[in-house]
Amino acid sequence: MNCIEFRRMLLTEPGGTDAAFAEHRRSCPECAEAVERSAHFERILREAVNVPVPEHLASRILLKQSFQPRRESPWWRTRRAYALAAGVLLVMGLSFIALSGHLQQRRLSEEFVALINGAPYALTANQAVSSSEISAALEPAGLDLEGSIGDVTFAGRCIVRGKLSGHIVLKGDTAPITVFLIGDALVSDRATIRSDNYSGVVLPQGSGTIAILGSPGETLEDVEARVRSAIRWAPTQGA
Amino acid sequence: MQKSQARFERLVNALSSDLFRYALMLCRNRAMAEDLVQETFMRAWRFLDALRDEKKAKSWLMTTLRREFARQFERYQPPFDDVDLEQIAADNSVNPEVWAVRRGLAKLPDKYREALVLQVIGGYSGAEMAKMLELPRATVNTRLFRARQELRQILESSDEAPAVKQGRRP
Repeated sequence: MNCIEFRRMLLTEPGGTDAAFAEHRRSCPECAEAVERSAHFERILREAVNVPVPEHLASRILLKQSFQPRRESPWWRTRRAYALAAGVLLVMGLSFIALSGHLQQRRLSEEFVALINGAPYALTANQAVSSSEISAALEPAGLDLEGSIGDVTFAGRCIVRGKLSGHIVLKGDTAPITVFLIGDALVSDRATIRSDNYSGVVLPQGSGTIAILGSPGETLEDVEARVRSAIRWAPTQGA
Repeated sequence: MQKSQARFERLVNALSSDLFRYALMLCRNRAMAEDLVQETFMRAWRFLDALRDEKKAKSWLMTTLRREFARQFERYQPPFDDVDLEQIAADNSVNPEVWAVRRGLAKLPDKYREALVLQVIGGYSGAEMAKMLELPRATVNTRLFRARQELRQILESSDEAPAVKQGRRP
């Protein structure tokens, strides 16, 4: 390294640790003196650059940061994406279940209405049916009634979803009330039945199902309470 | 989250002063310099995960600040008049040599001042600065050379700091 190269480096990287730079400094008194002058200048330069900083600058930055959202890491983003996907699937699943349940309930309502419409004679019968006749009618379906459930005008059987079931009609306040007693659990929760001409309820009872339908506006609570109290499912329910 | 917060606070406490000084030398306006530092740290907070090596934090932040300055300067050019640096330089409590050098710095062309200040504050090598400034190393060396050369000329052309001008200790 010659003096020109040395002086150039002194102005570009005065703190340089280059071996050739150090060697030239040792061997050249004039350049060594230039290093001394440069060292003093660099100290003044550092001090000049070291301007006063606004008070509480760091505190203000941290305060502002406390209101700032932060971009999350890929791991977090992935986890959030999974959580979001899981949420969407859960909502879809619940919606499907709800929709499925709704459709199932609607189909069941239509089935019961179809059964009523398929046996118009049951609605027009007006002769009182005795307890023994009721028991005789229900026995093949594997069930019986203990006690009175009201003024029964028809007791017979029908097939509900392939299951031999009890079919009873009793007098209502305004129109006949139809009760279906099914030995299978068709529903897990109580649900209402609505159609143009009927309203009612279907509910689980023991290992079976009770459906009660009447004209819209007919009070069915008393009938329901009596049926639930009186129904006896046989240990083995044959079809 | 707490770990990130602690990490961020360490960065702010350790580097906000140097970043402010660098920002001030870039924009020559204290209010704008503080805004630049704030914005730089907000950006750093949002992308803190991108900083893998803590040793590179300072250069990462300075590069971010420099880009932020370029972005802001591109859309808004404040009427710089060197007032803030002049005011700082006029602080009578500082060494007259320091005062003279500050005035000299304020008068340096931007590109020379930036390279020189980056080196003084960051202590970076020519190669590191070339990377940060996105310039060839030879260009960086030229700017550093001319910055010091012009600063000395500025000092020599004034009679404000005879000790520095003559290269003698006061």
